Amino acid sequence: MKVVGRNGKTLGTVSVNGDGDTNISNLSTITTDETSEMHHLYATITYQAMFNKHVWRSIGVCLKDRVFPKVKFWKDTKANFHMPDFRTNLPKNKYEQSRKVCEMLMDFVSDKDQGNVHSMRKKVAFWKLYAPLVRAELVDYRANAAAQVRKAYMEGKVRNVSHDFYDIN
Amino acid sequence: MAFVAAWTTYDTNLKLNDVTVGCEIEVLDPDPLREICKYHDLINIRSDGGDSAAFEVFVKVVLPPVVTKNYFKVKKYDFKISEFVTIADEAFGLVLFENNFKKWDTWVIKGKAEAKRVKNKFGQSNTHWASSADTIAQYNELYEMVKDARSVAMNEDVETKLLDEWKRERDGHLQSKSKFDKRMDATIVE
Repeated sequence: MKVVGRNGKTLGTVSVNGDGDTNISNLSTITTDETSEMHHLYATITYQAMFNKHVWRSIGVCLKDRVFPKVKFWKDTKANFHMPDFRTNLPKNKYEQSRKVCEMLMDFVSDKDQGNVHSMRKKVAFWKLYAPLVRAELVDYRANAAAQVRKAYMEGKVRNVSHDFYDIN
Repeated sequence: MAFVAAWTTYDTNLKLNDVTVGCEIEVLDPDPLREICKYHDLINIRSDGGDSAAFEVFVKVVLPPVVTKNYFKVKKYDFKISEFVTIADEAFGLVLFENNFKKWDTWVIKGKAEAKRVKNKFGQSNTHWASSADTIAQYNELYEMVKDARSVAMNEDVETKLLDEWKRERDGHLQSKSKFDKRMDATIVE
């Protein structure tokens, strides 16, 4: 099954492994260690049915208002960006940038599970689906900024008035 | 001088969009920003004895697109630059301008065809400029510079001056609005 993102871009196909409704309790019985559980999730989790344009729109708002004012370039490597370490016992100062962004976005768009945290399964599924889009969004933001600065610099003009509607005479 | 002449020519040939009717267009002289970028270093833009005119042009030309124009328009009347533009925004604006300056400058003086041959400053070795180590290093350096400058309230006089200028501009428009209101009230009475 194909997942189609913005601009009709195919995000990739994922093989379905078992029932899509598998919950975290079932998984925790399979793998007790958190690290192996994370790897297992990265390898098997499916995300076809999850893409939601309304959620993506909310993510866009959050990116624009909260993330892009602070983040201009990704610090993580490409591999780390797409597969951040979501283990709960990791010290906070070792959190990757992508993990922080993922958690911020999830706080914005979805409710937390029991214990006031997002489950690892949810995080992995969410990030696998939206990470490429988030990455592309920052590229778009930088390109737009560059194009507009170029235009402003070359024209040498600044529109000063925002209250256009007052000047109707 | 050659640059100014070219600029003026370019400027007069511009066709303004009809939507701009009712807006005041301020024509900026980009020379201070151009000079600091060409002959000095953008890292000095906020320095104590630095050229405040260059910083002013930077604020008016580069910062609005970086923080999005609408946000800038809304906030500029009530807050100083350092209160609503993040350090990251400012550092990014500087690194963006530094990266593209040579190309844009050539474009203004010699035209688009010539500008296409000019390479950007960062990311020349087959890497995108945003993922180049040079860009990141320069960005980090500029980030620290902006952070330090803000902590000691450097260029605060320029920021205050700009805020006052924009406040005056808004007040002028509020007056014109009240005239409009009076006229509307008179119409209603008749």
